[in-house]
Amino acid sequence: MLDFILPSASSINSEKTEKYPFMFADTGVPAFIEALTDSGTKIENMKVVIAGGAQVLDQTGVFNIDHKNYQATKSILSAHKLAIHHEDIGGIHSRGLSLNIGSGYSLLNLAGQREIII
Amino acid sequence: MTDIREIVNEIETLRPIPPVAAKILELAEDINSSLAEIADLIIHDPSLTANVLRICNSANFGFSRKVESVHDATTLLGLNRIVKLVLLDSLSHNLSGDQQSYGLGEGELWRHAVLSAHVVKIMGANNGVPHNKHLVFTAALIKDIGKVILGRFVAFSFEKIHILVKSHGYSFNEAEKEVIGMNHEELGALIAERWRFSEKLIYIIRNHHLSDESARDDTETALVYLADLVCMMMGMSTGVDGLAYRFYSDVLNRMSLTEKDLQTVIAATGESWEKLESLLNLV
Repeated sequence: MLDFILPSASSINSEKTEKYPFMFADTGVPAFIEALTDSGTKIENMKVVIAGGAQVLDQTGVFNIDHKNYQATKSILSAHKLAIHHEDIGGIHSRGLSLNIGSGYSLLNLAGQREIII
Repeated sequence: MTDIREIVNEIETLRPIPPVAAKILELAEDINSSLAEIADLIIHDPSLTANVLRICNSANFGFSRKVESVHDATTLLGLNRIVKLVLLDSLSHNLSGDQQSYGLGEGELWRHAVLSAHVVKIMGANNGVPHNKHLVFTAALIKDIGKVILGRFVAFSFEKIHILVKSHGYSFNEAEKEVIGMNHEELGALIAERWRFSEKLIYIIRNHHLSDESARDDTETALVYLADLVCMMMGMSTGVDGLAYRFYSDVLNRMSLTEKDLQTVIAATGESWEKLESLLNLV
């Protein structure tokens, strides 16, 4: 599982981004895929589930970082020829995502309202 | 609409902030106060003294010798950390319960409070805007105290609030005001008045969602507001109100902040995640 918070390592004022590649979509997602393929996972066997991207009420788009996270993720996945199996994106509620190692199912929790098994 | 008096009467059910903590806050807001004055206040409160020493001696601080007196503790930790510990200690009782009606489980409101206080600190340190750091730390910590009481009323009105937010373009606090007659900022400010907090602290609590445009010019209120939004965006313990609060982009311009500055604060918060977790476990 990868939990990142920002779209791009180049979008912050810091030299330290190399220390935290998994904090950003543009460095984290490729590094994550690489780590999986290095451990023997085949791209064709991967099942991608993404969740998040909730946003505050913003007319200007300045604070819609989560939407940018989503866009960045989509383009990196598509560059790796990875289709999204399930996505739950946007809206005004944060989500929790967990993975059951034994069964391979993901459990998506939408701000305490409901749970979906994927 | 709910009878406002009924809501206000509920304030009595909160555990008041100990007078010593209120006094320490007042001293911390005053630039002329000294560390020794604050230590003198702490030693007159046995339970606070015990907690400061307990926390100071925990593995987290890693001091090589046992800290045996409050004066040693204040010297070793410094004013900022002492004020922080006192605040965390005296506010945790009220915020650590279960706020079911906001969809927040045990301790989640407290968690959000501590995290946004931490974010406001990072934000202040990153942007060089002159401000009173103890004041904004306290304000960030206590801004949602109104939710502790209002939650009981939100539960009865949730369907109506939800419809206004979902289908009529209201923010959550606007919908609270419309349906219940009062929102959590106004109630929080009343609680702060009852506890005799400073005028400025009451002002920040009342305006922490910047619904009143004039508050957007106040640096401290704007910092608390932005830190709250950063926490929401990072998905820290958000309840049924979720991210249904307004972002006013002119706040950034007024403070000469860019989107990049905001993202830098988010990254710095992510970086200090582990430290935050241990702080939460301490209190």
